[in-house]
Amino acid sequence: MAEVALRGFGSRQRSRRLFAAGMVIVGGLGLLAAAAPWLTSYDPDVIVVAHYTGPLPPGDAHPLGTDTLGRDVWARLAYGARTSLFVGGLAMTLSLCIGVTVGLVGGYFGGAVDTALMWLVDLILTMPTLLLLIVLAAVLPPSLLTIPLVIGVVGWTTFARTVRGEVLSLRERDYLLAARALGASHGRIMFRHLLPGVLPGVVVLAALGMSGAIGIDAGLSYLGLGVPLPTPSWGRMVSEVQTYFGVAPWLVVLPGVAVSLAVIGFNLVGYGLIDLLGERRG
Amino acid sequence: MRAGLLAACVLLAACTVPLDPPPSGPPVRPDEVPRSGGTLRLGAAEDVHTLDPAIGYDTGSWAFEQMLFNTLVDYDEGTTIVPELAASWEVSPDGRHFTFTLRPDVRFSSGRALAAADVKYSLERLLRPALHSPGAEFFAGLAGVGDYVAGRAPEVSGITTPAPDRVEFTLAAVDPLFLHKLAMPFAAVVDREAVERVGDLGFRRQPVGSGAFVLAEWVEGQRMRLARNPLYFRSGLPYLDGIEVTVGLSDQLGWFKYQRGEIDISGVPSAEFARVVADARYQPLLLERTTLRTQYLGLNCAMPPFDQAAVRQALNMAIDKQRLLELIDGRGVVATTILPPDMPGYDAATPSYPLDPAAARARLEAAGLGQGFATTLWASRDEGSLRLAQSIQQDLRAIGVELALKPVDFPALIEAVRHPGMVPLFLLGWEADFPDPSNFLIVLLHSRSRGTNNNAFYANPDVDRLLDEAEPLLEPRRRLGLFHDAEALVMRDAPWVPLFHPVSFAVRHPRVRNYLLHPLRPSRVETVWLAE
Amino acid sequence: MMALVVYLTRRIIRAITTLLGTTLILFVLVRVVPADPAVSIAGPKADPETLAAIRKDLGLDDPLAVQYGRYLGRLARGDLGRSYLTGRRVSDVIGERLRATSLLGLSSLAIGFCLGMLIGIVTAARRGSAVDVGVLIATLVGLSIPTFWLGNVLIYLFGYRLRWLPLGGYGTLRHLVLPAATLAIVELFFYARFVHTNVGGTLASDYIRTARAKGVPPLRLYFQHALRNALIPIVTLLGLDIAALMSGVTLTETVFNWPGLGRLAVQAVFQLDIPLLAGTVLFSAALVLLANLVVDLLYGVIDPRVTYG
Repeated sequence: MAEVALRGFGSRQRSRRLFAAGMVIVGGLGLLAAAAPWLTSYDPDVIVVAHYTGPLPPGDAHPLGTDTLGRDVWARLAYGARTSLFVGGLAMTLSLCIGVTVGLVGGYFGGAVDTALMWLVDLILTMPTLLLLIVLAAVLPPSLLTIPLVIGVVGWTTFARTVRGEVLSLRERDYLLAARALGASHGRIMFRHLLPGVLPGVVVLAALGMSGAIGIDAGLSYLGLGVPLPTPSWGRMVSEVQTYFGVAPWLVVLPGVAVSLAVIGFNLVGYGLIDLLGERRG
Repeated sequence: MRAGLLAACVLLAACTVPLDPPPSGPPVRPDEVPRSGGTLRLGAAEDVHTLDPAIGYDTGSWAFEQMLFNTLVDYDEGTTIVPELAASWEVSPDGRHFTFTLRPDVRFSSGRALAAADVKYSLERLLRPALHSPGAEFFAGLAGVGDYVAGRAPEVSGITTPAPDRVEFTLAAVDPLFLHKLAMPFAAVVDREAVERVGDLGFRRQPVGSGAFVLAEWVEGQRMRLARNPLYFRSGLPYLDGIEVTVGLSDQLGWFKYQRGEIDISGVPSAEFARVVADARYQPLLLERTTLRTQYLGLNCAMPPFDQAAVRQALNMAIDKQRLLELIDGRGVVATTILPPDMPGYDAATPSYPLDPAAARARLEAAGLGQGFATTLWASRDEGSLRLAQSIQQDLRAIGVELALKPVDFPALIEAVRHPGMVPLFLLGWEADFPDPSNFLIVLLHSRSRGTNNNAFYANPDVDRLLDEAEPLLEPRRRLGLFHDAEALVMRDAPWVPLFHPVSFAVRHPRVRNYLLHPLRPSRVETVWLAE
Repeated sequence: MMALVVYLTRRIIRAITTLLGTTLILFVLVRVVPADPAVSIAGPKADPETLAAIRKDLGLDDPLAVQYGRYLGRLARGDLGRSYLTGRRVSDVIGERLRATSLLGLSSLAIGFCLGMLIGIVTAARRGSAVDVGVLIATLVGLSIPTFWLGNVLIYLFGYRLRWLPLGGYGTLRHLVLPAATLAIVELFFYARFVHTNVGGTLASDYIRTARAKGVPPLRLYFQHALRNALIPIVTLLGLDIAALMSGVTLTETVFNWPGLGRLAVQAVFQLDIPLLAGTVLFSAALVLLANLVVDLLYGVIDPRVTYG
């Protein structure tokens, strides 16, 4: 398949502003996740109401009320940020490591190696991601580690193709030929010389990858296949309260807004970076 | 920023919508008479996986099997046995011979007249080993079943048809519950020609019986339609032209549809329960029934560490059942025994376990598990069950037991718990098939039921002995006394943590008449009619 | 013409090998599942001899390579096995659901694509303005909102409160509106942004300026001249999108009670119905491969240069 130019928002100034907005959101998210234990005195997994009579509305004791089990909603949202960032981050890192390595190796060596690796990429790309994840979720015991593992193993293809494309264009540069002539090993050339060149593209994809991983995790959790109960997960929080629209609308709206914000934030950062780091081929 | 968030939430909270009124329809008038016509619209979360009465053993399948088939005898609105396909019957003095005389006017929906040979065929089919029917065990007491199942005999000698309208049963031993067993959908009479034409596997989706309705259409994942059986033997019935079931409705969608008047019967989601029950507009539409049901946490006695009684007792003392009741909006009573309160033989004074986490911890330590352990709880993946599971998860964490939750679809759950060594803990309920303690104690806790419904794989020879002794007894006091002793032993061994006995709630559309919740069976729709 | 045929043959071979790879992955995954198929078929009360006989019948004792070969053979005949729970042929069940998924997928794609193009063109014309940025942000938001959440909100608003549209389900065009709209909103951003930046670039070119000076009406300008160059990458984008579409369809089907393949797969997971799950996923992968093959064909026709690559 041909390559498509990844474009950002058009003008540098606009990109800078949108990038900044994205960073604010992402930063806020990170702060929320890190500072969760200080922002709330409640444990997100623990039922804190003495007697359950339904979800409580926002009030003094519970700033965002309680959920359908009697747990503090603000605590679940805050710690849910941890879950999202952890799962998204681990998945994206895994995708990154696998994808960059495959891209470097394929682009550098070319020939049969490259063809084989790209065939593997095609293979993964044609499997509908969510369905593949569903199969893996059926087979593996669900835990906080297997979910990001599964998402990561399925999502490395974009990294691989982008890096490969960049390597192909960088491969014939003079300084590389010189390094080869001086006897540098393949590994050294790939990781010492080529890697810095592809890094800007990788950074962009990392941001976009985070947004994707968070979104996929939310979707899986909604279907009931995400991180195991009772770990707070925004996607799961939405599916738990579907019948509570009229009775407790904040329960339904808040987690959805949280997921949307996280995904928007990372998307803004990623697309903003595209223009700021120069046009890339993807 | 936090203040802004708070303000937004208070605003959202103010957006709580008041409870919508129920759909409008004709109120009940004192002088109404049933009218024929109309289609009853129902909703279901998932497809039933079979309509074959020999296979289905869950509420969903039974609801439809009742519409499509008949049994020799049945229950009235309560727990009294009344004639159905049989016009009358006689029991021999020794209690081991039953002679049924069939009604003369029954036909299958295919047109063929129903005769005694069909009754014999249906029960023998039920007992065929290749079919793996979960109902076969109820009829294992017929004479000659052993030879038939082993392949040594081509038929069951205990079932004979001396005349086209007479069926005779001979039991190997006295069974006071035989009539009740004949009232179970397992004993429904199926059309032999249909079975032979489409095969056992095909019959699951193309059932042919003599019931008030026939299957008109089944589009999997979407809907099921039943139509009136014009050949039904009760003239004038059913009143309904047909029944339409929308499949795949979540609690959310089902409730929305009910409120918009698109379906006629609905459960009440937890979110709305408190408001609905308190609302005068819903009062006349509310259906409530105390059932003979126990929700319990099953512990697999064949899988360590639940093979130790001390561990099982510890779990019994750690779980906060009051909170579980609150989570189901108080729809029921806390369970301290195996048997539900309305069951003959129930004894509230049966020794049980108090809520005492400290004592629970002590028991675990005595068993050498003071440092705690990890295990998995399997539960049906509807929101209600999962909330209960998470509450239990929290209780057990407090005594050092780390619980992983595994949500599965209900049909898969009842399959999985039958496999030895697969499910260590499970959340299930059992609804009595007939009003007798044996239906709980023998079917669920006798060692011979392991692999069918004794999913706790519990085996206690003393309990078995008491149950075997009680089973054939006709005299109630002695019978119930022995069952009571067995129950006390079981509670001591604690293969279960009985959680609560639920009360069923439903709401109906104002136009629905005569839809009643039955204590033992899904609602009968034969006599339901729709007012205009 | 010859080059096209060669190109197409190469792509077909590649598609077939990819499909084979998919079957291998699924085969391995299915064998890893702990549930014993013999017990699932025979029931838990079966004795060990019966189980052994069934296992022999199914060939479960043969070496994995032989089993895989047999599996491929059956696949070639269209036999995807039977569901554990209902005993029905998996291919039959999939056949029932295919239409619903295709309908939803294609209509969302069409809406997202057309609307996206339209938005892209409009914003390209007003490049740099507030409308431009606003629309771009709006589409980015649309991309980021989780489908399931949006779906629930839409059902509540339009199905329940306003009563304009049905409460989930399948059957008429009205049933299609909400699910297709939900999916399309997510699709919009890619096409809009893409057309926006590419068309924008071409618009600034001298060629266009000249055409304008000659008096060619603006709308025709955009469609005839600017768009044609952008067509190739758009077609590529479509190809990449199809696999992603399948994932979106799964979530949407679940929320709206749409009887399609996605919802079937989710049900199969929770019913522990492995043959049904594996069959559905394999079929979906085959669909995606087919769609991509069509895209590649279009691509080869539009830009013959690619066939020499």
